[in-house]
Amino acid sequence: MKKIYCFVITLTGLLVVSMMIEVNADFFLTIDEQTWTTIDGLTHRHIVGSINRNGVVSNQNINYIAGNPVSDPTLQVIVGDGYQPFSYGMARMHIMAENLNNLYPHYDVIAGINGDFYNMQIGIPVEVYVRNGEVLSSGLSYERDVIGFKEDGTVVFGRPCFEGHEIRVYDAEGRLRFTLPVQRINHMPFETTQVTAFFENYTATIGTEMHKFVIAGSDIKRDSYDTRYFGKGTVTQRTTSTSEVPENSFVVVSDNPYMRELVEVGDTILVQEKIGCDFTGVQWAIGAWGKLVENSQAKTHIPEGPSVNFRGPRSAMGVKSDGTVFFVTVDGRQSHRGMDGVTLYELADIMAALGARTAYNLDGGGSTTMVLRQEISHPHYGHYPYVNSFSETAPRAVSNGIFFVRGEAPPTPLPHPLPDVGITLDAPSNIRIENGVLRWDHVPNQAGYVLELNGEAFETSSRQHPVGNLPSGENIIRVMTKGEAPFYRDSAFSEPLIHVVLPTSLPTIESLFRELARRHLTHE
Amino acid sequence: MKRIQLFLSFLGVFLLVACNPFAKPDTPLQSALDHVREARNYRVSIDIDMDFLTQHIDMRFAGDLVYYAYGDAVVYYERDGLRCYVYESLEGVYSRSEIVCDDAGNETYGFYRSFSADWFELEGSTYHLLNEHYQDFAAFFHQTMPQATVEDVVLTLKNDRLDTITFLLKVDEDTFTFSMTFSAYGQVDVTLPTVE
Repeated sequence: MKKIYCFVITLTGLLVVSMMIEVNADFFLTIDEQTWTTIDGLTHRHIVGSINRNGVVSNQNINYIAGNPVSDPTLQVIVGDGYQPFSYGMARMHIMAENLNNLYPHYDVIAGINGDFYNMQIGIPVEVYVRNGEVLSSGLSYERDVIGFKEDGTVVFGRPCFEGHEIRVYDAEGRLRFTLPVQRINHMPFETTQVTAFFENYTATIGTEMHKFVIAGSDIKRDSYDTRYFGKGTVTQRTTSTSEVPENSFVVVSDNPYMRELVEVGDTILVQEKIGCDFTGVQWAIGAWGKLVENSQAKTHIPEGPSVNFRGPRSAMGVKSDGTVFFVTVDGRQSHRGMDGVTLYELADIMAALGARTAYNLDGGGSTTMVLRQEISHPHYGHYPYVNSFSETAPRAVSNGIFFVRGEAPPTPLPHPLPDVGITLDAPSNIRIENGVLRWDHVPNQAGYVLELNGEAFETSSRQHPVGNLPSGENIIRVMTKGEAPFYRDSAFSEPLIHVVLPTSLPTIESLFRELARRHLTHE
Repeated sequence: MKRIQLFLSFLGVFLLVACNPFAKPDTPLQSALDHVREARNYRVSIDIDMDFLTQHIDMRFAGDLVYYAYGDAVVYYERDGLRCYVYESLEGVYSRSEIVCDDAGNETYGFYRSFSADWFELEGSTYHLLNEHYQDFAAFFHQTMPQATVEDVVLTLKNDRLDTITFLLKVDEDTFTFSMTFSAYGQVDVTLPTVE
């Protein structure tokens, strides 16, 4: 069905020309042979030629695929992977493309390039990986840059902030009920409003009487350090009894009014790391390693990246000033076929030559693979052949990749309006003065207190306040508990505590009369 | 004749002494002040009012025994010959300890026992301290609070005895209204507490 959306304009041309592009005084790209193909709004260029950098000449086989998601609203850049539920994993790029088509039927994958570096045993990517708003991995290094794609087609680069875990609750129709921070993992909440989540590696019994929500996981992942988690699943049970974490499940514990009042069996719950700063609202994100082009200038100093000065197959992604996104593969390790490969500096020059304002290096070597969907007229339409010449005997299975897709995501259902479930907190009790210090008992779920001394109020987070310097006379003291909206409302003020401060001169006066009494006896 | 002259001389001297025009008149106030100065059995109740709170001092004098109460604290003093003792309570249990007994001579602590009738002016039925004697009155407080001032000192009598002394005492920002009531002349009985 989606094929009918594939309005394909294919223009194929074979240019056998010899032209030279001078990027700067030290770099020349000589194109001996170039193939241009336009497919479904994307431009594919296959360049055979050579580069001359600082007088060193090497033969190159370059593939370039570009599209502009800013000017073409149904063209998007997303990420895909070969992950399995409850683990990561690896897959070849054409399999990832097919996975994406199955996972997101509203999208039709056109082309893709391999993505982040990864652990070759389990496939976990080195950096953040966000797929359709779900933070499947928070990464392992936290020291490399990330490329993020927003729904409006804009691309962000850099290092995202991590704002702790969050929980998202959706009803059975996919409408967002609410989002809350998750304060702790595998630990009990400190306060009843807090939310914590227990995963399978917590093997003890959760003994609290607080509300527990057992979620049968559709996917659960965690990093190698057991510090960052991703969990998604369906609420199967609510209970206040003791509970353990069932297999392939996780348990959310909280007496938060939203959790208590709004979560129903059958809801979908997502627990994941929340990323922020420039990456707030990013729907898709993938890690990179090595900035190649900045402000349209090839970097002349690349402090980080894989084997910076060695030639090899390379993959890269760039963004032009007009919003065009393009993928580039440079094949290598096949010098006998005119594919010498490039250093990162040579790759940076190529990306700048191809028009990048910003460009990043992706995983390379045997991972360098680029796929492009067969044309609609092709008998194998829908297949994703590799357009580059991979350096190994077969395309390598990689962790994830970046893809151009055609289509529009269905509109996100409007979130549920948040009901007023705020609970009015109790006013502080047992207000007392001990040794010149005003104290009162802790009020659960408080977000602070308001202390009123003789009509003058001020907020405090402490449950004690020195009152040794109050004026003599009657001092009227009241305390209010602050509640954090929307879950809790402020209490009323407590009953007033009347604290009488005697004049400092009174004891002196009294001692005078006591002495008078004594001397009455002794003075004859 | 000489005997008559000698008799008349004696008579004159006698009349002169008996009818001394310079001797003080024995006024009710002076009589009352003289009485309280010599009294050894009476009670003084003191209310110290601070608007928001009234503190109370109760002093009872019974010969060689003194009862002194301030709030919940009660102290007793006893004179036994040349020795003096104080009885103080700690958590409800009284103990007795000897105190200085021979500090006679410091009249400042005599306070109302040092009053003289000519310090006061009768207005209606009350006696008001004359301005020139406020310093004399305040000397009692100046012993430990030199900044204290006293105002509106008024005495009343009842049955020819000192009945009340009222005044304002100002110390820094605080104003205390004093009301001292004298009563039970010759009727006070003080019983010492049991000492453990």
